[in-house]
Amino acid sequence: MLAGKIRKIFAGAIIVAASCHVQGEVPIDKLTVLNLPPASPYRLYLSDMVISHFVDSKLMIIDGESLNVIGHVALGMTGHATLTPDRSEILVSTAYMTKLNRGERIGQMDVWDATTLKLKAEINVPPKHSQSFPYRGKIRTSADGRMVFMQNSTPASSVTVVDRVAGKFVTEIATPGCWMIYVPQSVSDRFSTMCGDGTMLTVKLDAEGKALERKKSAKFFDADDDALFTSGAQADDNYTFVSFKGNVQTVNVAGDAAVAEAPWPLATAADVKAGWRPGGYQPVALHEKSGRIFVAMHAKGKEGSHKNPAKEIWAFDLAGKKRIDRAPGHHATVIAASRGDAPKVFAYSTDKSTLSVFNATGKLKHLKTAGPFAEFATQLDVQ
Amino acid sequence: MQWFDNFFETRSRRAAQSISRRSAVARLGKMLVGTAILLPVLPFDRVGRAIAAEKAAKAKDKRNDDTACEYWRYCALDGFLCTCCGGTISSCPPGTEVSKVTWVGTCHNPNDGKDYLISYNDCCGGVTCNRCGCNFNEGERPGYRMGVHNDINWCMANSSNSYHCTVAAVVGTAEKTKG
Repeated sequence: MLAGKIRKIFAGAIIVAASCHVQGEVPIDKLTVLNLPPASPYRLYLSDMVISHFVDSKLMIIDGESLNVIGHVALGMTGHATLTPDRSEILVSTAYMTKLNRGERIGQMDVWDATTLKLKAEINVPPKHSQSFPYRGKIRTSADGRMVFMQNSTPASSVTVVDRVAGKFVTEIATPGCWMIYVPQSVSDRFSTMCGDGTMLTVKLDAEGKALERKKSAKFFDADDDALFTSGAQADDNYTFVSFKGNVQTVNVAGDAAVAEAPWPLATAADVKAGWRPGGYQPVALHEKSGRIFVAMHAKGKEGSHKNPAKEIWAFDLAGKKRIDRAPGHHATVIAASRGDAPKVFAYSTDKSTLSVFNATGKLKHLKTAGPFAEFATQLDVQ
Repeated sequence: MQWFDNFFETRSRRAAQSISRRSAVARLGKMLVGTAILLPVLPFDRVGRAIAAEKAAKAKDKRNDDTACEYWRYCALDGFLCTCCGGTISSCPPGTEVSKVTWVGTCHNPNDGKDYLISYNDCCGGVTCNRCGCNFNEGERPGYRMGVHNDINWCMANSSNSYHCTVAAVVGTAEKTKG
């Protein structure tokens, strides 16, 4: 009763206020909800684990030119996000506890509209998704967008397969000793994953999305002596990784088994002596059109320094295997690059919570730095 | 968020680990993964005694201060220190539970010159403590070596997946071999 009276009073007040508007005063606002504007090539998606309360992680959407925040998506408990190939949806691998931090754990893939940022669908999956820092490769779609692959950890490693078109969970594929998901672009019936024995495992799927064939690559790295960062930069069927000690390793994942090219060093002998090494959570980005990679590098590196922030960002000609530029690192732990013409490079600092943007049409030219953004972000994707 | 300001600046690296030792840690990690382990009850704590004996002399030495990121057992810890959250170096705070799975680092004890295997169990349940955040990564490897990976919530196998803080319990000594 009382609430009803209060509502009537407020409704009346609004009518009075509206009728009292006179010329020269601030006009009466109409309350609305925005959609995201059409995306530029520089729209950014920053995944934040929110380490102080990760039952409620989030994705922050940022305009990469103005560095203004333009939207958020709730990722649930330590959620991992990816865009569909047509960029119309944001897919999230996550879980929810029924009583916030206890109770039943419900596993699901959330489907968000990438324009309205409204929830479109929830698909139940086994509650096993990897509760871990966001990295590219914790959730990926097949090239055609139909199948979605999600990294699990119990801590035994496995991959959940969801059919996005049918809207249902398909299967869980055991991937013991292997981690992260790499999908080719020329075929849609397989994924690869990086293994601790220095190989890649490729799992070929049948028409339903169930495992048909599994093949290991030849050994191409040593996880003890010179481990590979799992966050790689993709161009078509190739992923380019960097190693803890500073080697570049490109791997093709289109075949029945992955094929690795010969590794090559980022650093000269003098650089090695000064301890220059890659570091961070997403240490390498690639601009396919110009054939360049950008790597977050720190000096005085040693065992255990592999998450240190960048002192410099180094650019390399991937085909020529040659350094062509170096720029201030802005404390970056996460590097990303836009696609197409007029490229920009983005450098996010996890500990400083700042985002720096560079014009990358020629030599890297710092444009601006802004922040703070996230609490603990480790993954940055570009439109 | 003072700890974020100091997040990387407070890094220090003390144990120069050999490759063979890291391999041993990786093997141990594999053994532990997937197994619900309990914290071992040590017959006595020699390290603790050593620290007590030299406490006065080393009062200002952060390597012996278990509420400082530089404490020797934290050489591969990524998380919030339970010693700042109502727990101890090997005990979880009240109301939480010990993680059923964990990962293991190898740290050098400056007091006796030995290397120790340290189990970085998370304490689970309730809210996140969010005090005394530290991040060291000696011997840490990506998730394809899950037993020595620290970018993951080790409360994942508990009834409550909530992460509260991390302890650093000695579970053995690591033999020093040339790698």
